[in-house]
Amino acid sequence: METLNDEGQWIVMMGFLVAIGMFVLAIIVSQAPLVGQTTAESVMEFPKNEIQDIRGKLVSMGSTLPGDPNPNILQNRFRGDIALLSMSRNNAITNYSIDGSYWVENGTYSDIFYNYHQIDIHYNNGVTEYSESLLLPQWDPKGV
Amino acid sequence: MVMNDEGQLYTIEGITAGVIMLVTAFTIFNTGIVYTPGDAHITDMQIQQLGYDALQMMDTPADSSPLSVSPLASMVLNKHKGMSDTEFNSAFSEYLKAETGTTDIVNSLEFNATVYNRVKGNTVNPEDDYIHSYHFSNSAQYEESQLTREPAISVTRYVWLPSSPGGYGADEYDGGEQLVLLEVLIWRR
Repeated sequence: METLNDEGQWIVMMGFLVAIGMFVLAIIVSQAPLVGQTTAESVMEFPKNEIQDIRGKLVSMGSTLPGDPNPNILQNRFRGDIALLSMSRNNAITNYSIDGSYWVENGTYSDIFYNYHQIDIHYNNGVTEYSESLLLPQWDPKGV
Repeated sequence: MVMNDEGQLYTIEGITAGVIMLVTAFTIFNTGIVYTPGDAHITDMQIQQLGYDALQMMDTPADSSPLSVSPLASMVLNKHKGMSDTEFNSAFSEYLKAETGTTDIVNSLEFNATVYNRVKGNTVNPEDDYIHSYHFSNSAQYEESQLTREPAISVTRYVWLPSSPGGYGADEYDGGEQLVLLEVLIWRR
């Protein structure tokens, strides 16, 4: 043994470290299984068009609903339609409110041109959750 | 007999390296890889967006003002009971073809549309409400193409109706303003 040539110890140790490094990389790969989620699949999964549809309907109807002689009847009608049909066909919980309790107690927000109504939209299909509050001017401007 | 043992260190090193290589190879080949081609859902995504865009165009009133009856809403209102709506059929087919730029020969998109509307229950309890649905329109002339098909893509659109459609009775539709859901299944022939 005393005649063993040990001048290459650094090379041996570097080789050992490289081997350990490869092993660690293999562990990392084994811990990260690729499940094959593609970009197009993600695009389909995100309910962009459904949210836009509901939002567009509420924005187009919301400014006229408070001016309706029976706003609560119509609001409840549309809310029930959206809630039940979304639940059964789109697997989504959808709800909205116009002028929540704060605005009922304090009156609607207004400036010199319009009375505004706050619409709160909620959407949740288990993967995507979406909430929005927006102020819409009432259809008939002041002083016109 | 003198055994030459000068290479013991190299032997140990070789065995160690071999074990490390074996364990590394074992770990790599045991890793589960679920492989999905990157283009698997691209056509599905395109069909879905195509359908949503077509329905949105048809649901836009000519004067673009809120609470005007859109062409799509008037189709729902004017549909005859028990018959496929030909107006929706031709309009929706036109939009699908216009977007894809295909000819009649290679245009392989088929669709089947259903209307869902909420009907209130007898009592004021919201849980008594139920959903009524009926066939609205379909593209295929032959029943075979309705049976053998690729997996269908579902697109939906809420349609505002100022009143219940004329061709349907009071037991199938509540009167007055309401929202109905139009669901269109689109697939390749």
